[in-house]
Formats: sequence, C-alpha cells, structure tokens
Amino acid sequence: MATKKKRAKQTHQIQPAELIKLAEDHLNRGQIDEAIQNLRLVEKEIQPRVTADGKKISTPPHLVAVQIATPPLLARAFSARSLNAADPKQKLEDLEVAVKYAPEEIRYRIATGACRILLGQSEAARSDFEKAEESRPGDGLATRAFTLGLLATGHAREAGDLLNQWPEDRRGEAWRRLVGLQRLSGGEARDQVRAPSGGDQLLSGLSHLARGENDRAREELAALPAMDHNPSRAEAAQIATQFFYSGWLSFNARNYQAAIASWREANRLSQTHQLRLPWRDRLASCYHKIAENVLEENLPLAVECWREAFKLSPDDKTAQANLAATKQALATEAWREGKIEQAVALWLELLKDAPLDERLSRNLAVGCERLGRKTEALMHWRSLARVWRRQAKQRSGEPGFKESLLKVEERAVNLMLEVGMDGQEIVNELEAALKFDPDNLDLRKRTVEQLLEIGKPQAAMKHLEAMERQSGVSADLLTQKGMAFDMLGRHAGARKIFEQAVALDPSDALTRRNFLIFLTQEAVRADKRHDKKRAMEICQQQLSLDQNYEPALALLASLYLGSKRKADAKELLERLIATDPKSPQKRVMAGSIYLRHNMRKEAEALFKEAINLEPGPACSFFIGLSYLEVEEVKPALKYFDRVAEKGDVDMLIEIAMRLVDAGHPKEIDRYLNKAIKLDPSHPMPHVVKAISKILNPLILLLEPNALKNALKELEEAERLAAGKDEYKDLSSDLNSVRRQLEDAPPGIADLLGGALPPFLFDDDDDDPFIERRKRSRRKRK
Amino acid sequence: MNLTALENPYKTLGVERTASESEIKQAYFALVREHPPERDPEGFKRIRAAYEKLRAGGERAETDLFLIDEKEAAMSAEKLQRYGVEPPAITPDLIKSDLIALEAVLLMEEAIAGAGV
Repeated sequence: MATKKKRAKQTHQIQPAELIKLAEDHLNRGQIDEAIQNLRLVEKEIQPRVTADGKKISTPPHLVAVQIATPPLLARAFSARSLNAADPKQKLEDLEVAVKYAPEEIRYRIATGACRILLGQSEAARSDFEKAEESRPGDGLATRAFTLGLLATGHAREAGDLLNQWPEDRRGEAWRRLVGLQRLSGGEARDQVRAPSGGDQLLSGLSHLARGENDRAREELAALPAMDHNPSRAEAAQIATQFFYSGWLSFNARNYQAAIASWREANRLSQTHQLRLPWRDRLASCYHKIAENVLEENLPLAVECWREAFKLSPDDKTAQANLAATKQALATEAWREGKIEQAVALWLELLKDAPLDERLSRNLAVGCERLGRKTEALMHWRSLARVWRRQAKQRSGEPGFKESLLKVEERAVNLMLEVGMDGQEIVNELEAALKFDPDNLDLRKRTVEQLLEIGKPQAAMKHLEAMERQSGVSADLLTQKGMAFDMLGRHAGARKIFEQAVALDPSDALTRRNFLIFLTQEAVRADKRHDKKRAMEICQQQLSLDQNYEPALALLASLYLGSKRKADAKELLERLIATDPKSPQKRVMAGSIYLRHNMRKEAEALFKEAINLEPGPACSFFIGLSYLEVEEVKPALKYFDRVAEKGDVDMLIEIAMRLVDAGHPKEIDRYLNKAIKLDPSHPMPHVVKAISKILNPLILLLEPNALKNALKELEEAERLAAGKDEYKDLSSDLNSVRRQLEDAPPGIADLLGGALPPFLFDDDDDDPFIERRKRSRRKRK
Repeated sequence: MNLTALENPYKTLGVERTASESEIKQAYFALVREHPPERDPEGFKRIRAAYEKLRAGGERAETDLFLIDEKEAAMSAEKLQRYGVEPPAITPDLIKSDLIALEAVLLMEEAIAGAGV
C-alpha cells in the first residue's frame, strides 16, 4: 500500500509535458491503458481554474501547448483501445469518448457509426455518417460511410445513385464491394450501376448463394485468397466470414466434419483478432443441430460439437449437460472396448466440471490403476474417501456403504505404501479411516505398523492399548508392543513382553522371528558397550530358540574369535555353512568374519570354495566387498576386476559407489567406463562420476577441470534420464547434485585470493564457464 | 482384486446391481441347478466365481468398487436436452446483413488507422 502511494506521488511530480511525451511513447508501443492513465493525469493538471470569487485563472504559458496536445492524444488512445475490445458495446463507449475529445476528426465519428452498425443501430449509424459527410463534403471515407449507412437502412436506390456519382479514380475495392452489396439489396439504381469486376471471392460466392446457386457458391468460397503474411484484422474478418459460409454450405450438404473444420477456423480467426461478427452467434445452433443429428451413429462427433458449442458460449447449459452425458457414455464405451487411456482422459475432462463426483473419482481410480498410474489412482481413491467420509453419517444405513468406504481406504493405504509415500501421511489416512470405524482391528494394526515404521512408538502404544482393551492380548499384539517398548528405549520391558508373546503362542513363527531380531539388537548393543559376556549369552539364547539362526551364529563366532576361542568359532561357522552347504554366500559370510579377525588363510580358503561353487561375478563381488570392508584395497580391486569381466551394469555401478564410500574415488573410472560401454543409455554411471567429485573436495580443489567435468557428467546423466519413466525420481536428485556442484569452490584459485593460477587453468583461459565464475566471484567481493 | 477381470458378476447371475443378498443366493442356486458341475464344469465355475464376488458384504463392496457400470454407456436421445433453437436459414437478407457488418468492420479499421494523421 505504502509503495503504491509513493509511486502515485512520484508520478504526480512528473511535469505535464513529460507525461505527454511518456503517453505518446506508450501509445506508439501499444500500451494503451498506461497512455490513458498518464493523459488523464495531465488532463487534471490543465483543467481551467477559477479563483475563490469565481474569476477564471489564465493558463500558465508553459501549459498552453500541453492543453492543445492532450485532447487529440486522448482521442487517439481511446480509439486505439476500441480496436482491441472484442465487445462492440465497449468499442462504442471508447469511440464516443474519442469523438468527444476530437469532434473535428470525422474518422472517429465514422468509426463510431460503423460500430453502431455492428450493434444493430443502423439509423444512428447513418446519422453519424451523415454528420461526417456534412462536415467534410467530398471526403472519400465519409462518402463510403454514408453509402454504407444508406444500404444498412434499406435505401438501396439512393445508395446506387451515390455510387454512380463516385469519381472514377476512387472506384477501388471498397466501391466494388458496396456495388455488390447494393445489387444484393435489390435496389435498382436510376442509372445502372456498373457490375463489379475483380476477384472478390467472398462477395461473388455469397452472391451465388443468395441466388440459390450453392455449387457455384461452394467453389468460390472454397478458394481462399493467397496470403504470404499474417492477416490484418480487416483481412481476418473477410477470411473468417468466408470460412463461416463455406462451413455452412458443408453443413447444408451434411458434410459435418468439413463444416466443423471451417467453423473452427472462422472462430479462431475471429477470436485472435477480437472480431465480433454476427454469424458467430449462429454457430452454437449449428453445432447443436449436428450433435443431435449424429448422436445415434457418431457419438464422438456429437461430443466434439457440444464441446465446440460450449467453448463458444460457456453459459450454454444445454451444451454443458449434453457434453457431460455423452462424454460419460463415450468413456464407458471406450472402457468396455478396452481403450482405457481414452476412457481415463474423458473422465478427467468430466472431473474438471464435477470435482466431487464420486463415480468419476472411482472410475478414474480404477482406470489409473489399470494403466499403472499409481500416484494418480491414489489421488482419486483419496478424494473418493474424503467425499464418502463426509457422507458417512447420512449414508450409514445404506447397505454396503461402510464396507465400500473401508475398501477405498484399504486401497488408498496399499497404494500409498506401494508408491512410497510419506509414512505420516499414511498414518493420517489410516487414522481418518479409524475415526469412521474405531472397532476395526485390522485398520488399527496397520496404523500401529506404520507408526512403528516412522518411529512413533508412543503414538503406537495408544493404539495398542485400545486394541488390548477391545480384544485382549495376543502374540501379535504383544510383539508390536515389544517393538514399541524397544523403540522407546525400554529394552528390559521389551524383552519381557517378547518373552510373554513367545510363551503365549510358541508356534507363531512371526512372533519368534521378531523376538530373535530384538535379541540380535540386544546382542549388538551389549557388544558395543564391550559387554562381550552378555552379548554371548544373548546369542546363545537366540540359538536355543533357533539353533541355525544365522545372525546369532555369525555374531557369536565373531565374539569367540575376539576372545581367542578359535575352535568354538570354527564350530559355529561350520554350522553356519552347514545350514546351506551348497551356498557360496554362507562361505563368503564366514570368510569375511575370519578376515575381520585377521585370519587370512581361513578366509581365503572359504572364498576359494565359494568361487568354486559359483564362479560367476556375484561371488567375486561380495568377496571384493569383504576385503574393502577391512581396507585391503588391492585384493578388493582384484575381485572387482573379475566382476568387471562378466558382471552387469548395476554391479559395476555398485562397485564404484562402494569405492567412493570407502574413500577410493580414483579407482572408479575403470568400472564406470565399462558400465557405460555395456549400456551407453544408463545415466547412473555419469551420476556416480559426478558425485565422486563432490564427495572429495580435494579432487575439486586440485584436479584441473574437475568441476567442469563433474557438471558435464551431470548434464549427460540428465540427458540420458530425460523422458524415461524409470528415472523420473532421479531428476530431483540430479538437481540437488547440480546445486552442490555449482556451489562448490571453483578450484584452488579461491584459496589464492581470486587470481587463477595459470599452471592449473592454462587450458581454460577462454572457457566461458571459468569466465562466468570469475565474474560472479568479483561480484560477490 | 483382479483388475483385468471385466466380467460383470451381476450379469452372470442375471441380477440387478441393487439385488439383495437373498436374491443373489436364489439366482445362484437356480443357475447351479441349470449348470451342475458334473454336466457343465466351465459354466459352473463361472457362476461360482460370480457368486464368490457378491456373496458377502466385503467381497461385494470390492466388486462394486471396481465394476464400472455398463449402463453408463447406454446413450439415448431421451437423456439429452434439446437446444430448441434451429440454425437460421441462410437468406439473401441474412447474407446482406453479414456483408454490411463486415463492411462496417473494414470501415472502422480504416477510419481509426487514418485518424489524426
């Protein structure tokens, strides 16, 4: 508000002469409203003033010129604005203002009269034209206007007389058109008016049409004038009229597609040029007529016609209702024929007009699911659930309603999980459903699962208590409660509850499994606080519940190795391998435990056995990782090189990422280059190359062109990912990587105070990127 | 729910979508008598599958949710509103008035373009 006032004050301070100049500039640039605004300000300044006792104050000399210049400019501005107005009433208002400001300019009066003709005020138009003619007798435009006025008011004979009197040198296109019109009006001139010559196809075509010679008319109207430029408004008006009549002839011959094509073009021209010609009002009835005629045999065409009618007039309720009904029918027909995309597109159109239509939401949800558009399907299921939840009370007696709502909720939650939606949103959805059906144990259980998933054990506890009150304890409930306790840090309590759960239903595999997982965490916690004894006890407890429980075997073996109980460890690892004797993975796992305890010989023997069992790249990959974990890079690379010989792209990318994580980015190129060679369309190798540079500031700082190369890799990744559905989510990640790269220091130059050391950046002297960074650095300083 | 299954169980059992549980049961047993499993195993399978989709509240709700009603496709003139305005006949007078309007547009353009010059 304050800014507005300030701006207004500033404008007032500009001198009227300057404002006039400014307004002229605006007018020349087509900024009509700005010109009018400034001229109105000037107008206020130069208004004749009077003293307190009513005496006229003479205009200061410096404003005299301004006083003279302002009204014609205002007239020019208003007439220019009238041209841009589509509504003839608005046009007329502006033109009347123009006439007020420049009454001596007959052209404004003529334009006003012409506008009145468009509004059906023919007599008033003729009076305007007459005045123009009287004030400047013999003026070509005034005579033309007056002739038109005579024709518009039914004075064809007088118009003919006048046309005969036109001097020969003025008998151009306008004269020919008026003569044609005069002949069409049936007025006999006292002296025969000479027939129009020249190729005005519109006039000629319409003359034939008026005489009922439809074929000739069609020929003439079908031929469009040659045009090598964008049509002016006047040309557009003629061409659009020609299209309308050409379309009408097609309509009359029941060639509806051709008619629609012509009318669409006519309408497009008239809209682009803000023309309001009378035939436009007839289009709606024509479209309705076609739609009604073709409804039985050509439903899509009927839809197209009602769509056009509605576009022409958004107030057309009939078109709107019929369009909705036919679109719905068309969509269901498409659905029945298996044209799901078409059906979904039509339902989406319908939904725009009826966003709360539950049937449409349902259809769209089902349709989008069929098309695999899960996110969209989810949106529609959720909107249906919202609508139904609001209606829950009033529809509670309706058979099947509650079940349907619950199914919708279930569908929505399933999809939310499938598309990986935010856990809290899933919880919100579930809790909304619970409000509607608080006794639904299944919903409550899923809510608890979600709450635990997103790390909200306290909230989960409330639901668990409600479940306990409602249906008593069960192994399942106790397991969830144990998990919640564990998350709350109440480990002792959690252990008790898990034990209760297992005791309640010893046969429940899931309960036992969750207890085992809990115990693994307990053991790891004990190990971390160096309570080896406790960790071992827990592992033993796990093994008493499941003698082959892999994490317990592995951890206990590792603990034994750390306590110099090699024989016990060996026995456990042999048990681990024996759980699946043909599995190379188990051997790699046992080998990596030996490796961690520096028992190279035992590790290598197991790795060898694993490779013998599975000579493929996967085994080498995991062995390589085991070496990398204990920071033995050389043997790790040896195994990774084996992977590179036969491994797939994903494995090579994974190796590169692990090497970057382990702080060895310099080793990644050979794997990534191989990956690029195997699949040149894969964006990920380029992403990893870029990331490896960001994660290592030293490379950025010291390696010439590191930043430039990283950005290049990123660009390549973006190019490769573009338009591929499977990499849709990658683009936002790439953006964040790009931001990081762009924010990264450009090189050692920053440390040296801005001057680029030539020994590092010699080859970049003309590089626009470096130049840009230099400039932005200077700017920052 | 098998989303690709487009078969309408109501149609298979020959009942309306608004049919009650007992009507559905009745229709099912009547059809089973006509198509016993030993004589028409395929027919019986279809009937049974349709009945399974409608027999209990939960199943029926799910079926209804995914069943896009074919009735919606039936388009008839009675469902539509009449515009009630016929396109006007093209007469010499109408053509004349269109040409006069067009001439007015051309005149207005020329007048404004040349004004104040």
